[in-house]
Order: sequence, then C-alpha cells, then structure tokens
Amino acid sequence: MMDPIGTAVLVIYIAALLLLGLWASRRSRSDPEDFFVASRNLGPFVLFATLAATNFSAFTFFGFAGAAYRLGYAYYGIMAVGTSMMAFSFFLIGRKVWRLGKEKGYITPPELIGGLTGSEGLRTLYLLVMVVFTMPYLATQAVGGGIAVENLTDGAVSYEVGAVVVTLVITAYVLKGGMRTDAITDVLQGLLMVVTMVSAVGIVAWGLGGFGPAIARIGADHPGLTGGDGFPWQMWVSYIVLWTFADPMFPQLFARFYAARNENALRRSMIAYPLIVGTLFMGPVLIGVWGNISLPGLDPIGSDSVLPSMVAEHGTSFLTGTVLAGAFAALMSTADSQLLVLSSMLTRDVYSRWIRPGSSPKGELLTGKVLVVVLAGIGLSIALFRVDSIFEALTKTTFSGLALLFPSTVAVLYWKRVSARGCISSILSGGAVYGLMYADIIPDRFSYGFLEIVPALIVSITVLIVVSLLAPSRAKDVEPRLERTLASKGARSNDGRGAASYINRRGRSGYDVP
Amino acid sequence: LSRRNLVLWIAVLSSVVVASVASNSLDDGGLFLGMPVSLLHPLVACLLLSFLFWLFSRTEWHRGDS
Repeated sequence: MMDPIGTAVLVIYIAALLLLGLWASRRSRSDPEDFFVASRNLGPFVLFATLAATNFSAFTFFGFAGAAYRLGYAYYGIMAVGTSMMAFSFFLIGRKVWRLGKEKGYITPPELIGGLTGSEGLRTLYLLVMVVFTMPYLATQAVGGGIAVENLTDGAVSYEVGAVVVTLVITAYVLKGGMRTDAITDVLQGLLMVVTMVSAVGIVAWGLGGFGPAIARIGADHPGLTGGDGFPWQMWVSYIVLWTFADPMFPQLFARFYAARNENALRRSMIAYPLIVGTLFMGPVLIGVWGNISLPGLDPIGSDSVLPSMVAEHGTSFLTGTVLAGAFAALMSTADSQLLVLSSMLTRDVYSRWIRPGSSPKGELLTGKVLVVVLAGIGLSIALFRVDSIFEALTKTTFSGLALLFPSTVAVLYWKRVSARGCISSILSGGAVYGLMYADIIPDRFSYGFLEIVPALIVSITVLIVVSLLAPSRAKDVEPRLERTLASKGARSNDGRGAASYINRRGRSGYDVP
Repeated sequence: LSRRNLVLWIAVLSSVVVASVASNSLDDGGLFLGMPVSLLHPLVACLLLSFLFWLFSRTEWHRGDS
C-alpha cells in the first residue's frame, strides 16, 4: 500500500497541474476561438507535446501493459508501428485542416466537413459518430484513474474516489483556460509520462535482477510471449490499419491541427512523433510481459492493472507515487482534450447551429463551459459502470467507429469529385458491415483472419468511390458560393481573417448555402 | 506536391510497415544484442519512419505551394 510519501507525490503533482493551468489561463482571451483552439497559436514544442500527450492515454499505461501481459512482446510492434505511421496524417490531413481553419474560421471537424461539401446531413453524421464514439473513451480515462488509485492503495482509496478526483481536476483547469491550459498542462504531463515510464522500467528490471536476467527468465519460462507466433500477419495489418486510420479521426487530435501556429509546427511534430512512440511504448510492454514473472495468473481485468501492481511490488513508495502521477498524466491529458473538443462540437455544431443561430461569441463561450461540466458528469457516470477490459472496449468500439470517417475525410480534402452522398453512404455502409460482423450476423470466416474493421473499410472505400462517381459533386459549387457571399458582405480581407470573423459572427458552419 | 509523388511516398512508407509485418512472421523469439527481436524490429521501423518523414518534409512539404 502507498505510504504518505507516495500520497504526497500525487498530491503535489495535482497541485502543480492546477497551478500551471492557472498560470497558463492568464494569457487566455474570452472568446470561443481562444477557448477551443488557443487562438491557433501553439508553437512546435507545445503542439508536439499536446499531440503526443493527448494520444497517449490510460490505455497506453494500463491497456498496453495488460495486453502485453497476455500476448507478449510482439504487442509492442502492433502498437508502435501503426501509431508512428499515423503521424503522416499531420501532413495528409493536418496541413489542409490548418490552412482551411485559418482561412475560414473552422473550429470543429464537422464544421470543416460540412463546409467543404455543403451538406448539413454529412456534418450531422460526423458530429454523431465523433460524439458517440468519444464519450466511452472519455469514460475510460476516469476508469483508469479509479484502477490506479485502487491498486496502489490496496483498496484503501476506492475506485470511485479515484475516478471522481480525476474528473474534478480536469474539469477545473479546462474551465479555466480551455485549449491553452489544456496544451500547457500537456507539456508537464508529457514530460512526466516519459520520466516515470523510464524510471518504472528501470526499477522493475532492477527488482527482477536486471534487464538481461528478466528477459532471459521470460524466454525460459514463457517462450510463447517472446516471438511473433501469437500474431498472424492479418492481425498485424489489421491493427496497423486501425491505428493509422482511427487516430487522426479522434476529434481531440483533429482539433489540434487547427491550433498549430504554422505549418512548421505540424512538420516538426510529424518527424518527432515516431521517436516518442518508439521509445515510450516499449515501457508498458516490457513491464506487462515481465508481470508474468512476479504476478502470474492474472485474469483480463487483473492484467489491466499489471503496470501499477508491478511498480508497487518492486518500487519504493516515492516511485509508486510518481508512477501513479505519470499514469494520471496520461489519462488526464487525454480526457481534458476530449472534454474540450466534445464541448466545442456541441457548442458550434448543435447550439449555435440549431438552438441559438447567430449567438454571440460570449454566448458560445458560456455554453462551451457549461457543456464541459455536463460532459464531465456524463463521462464519470459511464465510468462508474466498469468495462471488462479497457483493451476490448476500445478496439471494438471507439477506434473502429472513428476509423470509418478517415476515407471520407481524405476524399473531401483531396478528391474534387467526392460527393456528400458518397461520404454518407461510405460511413453508413462501413458501419453496417462492422456492426453485422461484430454481432456475428456475418460469420467470422468472412473476415479472413483480419479484424472486422478491415472488411468494413474496404466496403466503405468502395462505396465512397462508386457513389461519388454516380452522384454529382456539390463540393465544386460550395467554395465559389462561399467566396461570392463573403465578397458581397465585404467580409473578405487580404489575410482571410475577415472571412473567419464573418463566419464567426454568423455563428454558422463556415459556409452559407441557401 | 503532385498526386503521383504523394502516392509514391505513401508506397515507400507502407513498405516499412510491410517489412515490419514480414519481420514479425519470421520472429522466432530470439535475441539480438540482448534485446528481444520482437522489440527491436518495430523500434527500427519507428526510427526509419521518423527519418523518412524528415526526408519528406525537406523535399515535398512545400512543393507546389504558391
């Protein structure tokens, strides 16, 4: 059980986080663009830190270690290669999203997709998919907090208390400064994650007699965990496709493309991303596999807790507290971003679009803050109904659901003939195939050894192309019409900011199609 | 950046992924320099991807911008 030293480390961390959030919020302005995308002014280092910290979640600490405990070292490759490959989307999607956001004032992903296609239906579908699949993921961050606290205190502090503390702290600093405090606290959280993971691997290896002996013991006692036998190539391909397609479609990552100060920030983040992934992901996998030496026979729920349990087994109370703080950093840096982006989408794509069209920036900001509180409460409520395994829940719902948006997003950005009907058909058909396979209505043999998402994406891409070729594109019409509208309102200025402010004043989606 | 170059670059990046998948199939659980091969080949793939992203950003990122 964690003694007062470990508890003090955790308390200091949370206090430092709140103070940093308070400091960062001093530069905040009271307008929606600053609250939701930090006035599009995040430099290379902060952008990289917040992209990484946002993507590395409770799943990175607990889910990775648990899966590695069950599946072996090869799990590292499945996670690291696909996640590294995903960084190419910083160019493929991020660059265009940043440019369009700067020029036209977009703040949320559905605004951009709706704006480029002129389709309210597609915009609504994007909104629904992103909200529905992000909410459970938000809840898993609170679940992670509960698991960490419960394990490291041997049940002295309950799971529920851990989940509540995590939710309250996040809500406090997000309310204070939005994306700006979110990104600045991500820098602290990212650094803490790296330091604690390196320390945890070192201490656990030390406790097992050294790095070499720990590896040798796994090789001798658990040879099934050392090779690639447990993963057929279809699984490798499936997971790489899943991470590559799903990660950039997480609305909290998508929104960060808007927040970059310039393209150089995105460019540098793309180069650095595989380096941090390659090093950081190795930690939980090593500790997870080594868990079979010290803590054999854990069931799937127990194995999700193997990382904090191993640190508690081999580390000092100071390290235990530090690792707990690192795990909290991972899950809080994801949850705060999810909270903010969900709030921004519900504000811009629901409130300002349907409930109060033409609402003032002040009204949008207030609504956004109220929604942060409401969404945090919903996430916490979901968390109190625990899932069987973080790994299972995530891979089978959130990632797959969001991955189905990727083909349409790339097509909207690059393919002039794409149509809204093609995108809607693509997302719905892919979702239908995935749902039917997930429910075993379509038998497993039709997936040919791949995860369900692979055939779902094949269908989705095929339908996108076929329907877009058959149905006329509206994309070509929308942009000139937007330009004409802006010109007639006298809203366009040389740097495009006039357009953005006009659209913001309208409180609309970024286009003006009758 | 032309569409042809973009497709070419995606093919190059994908080949790193394919090589990593192939390495996994050949992985018999052995060690190299004291490290499990299961960890080493993905690590090399990550480093290679970072290098290729650097090369891409130097040569292609701003090409065609006006």
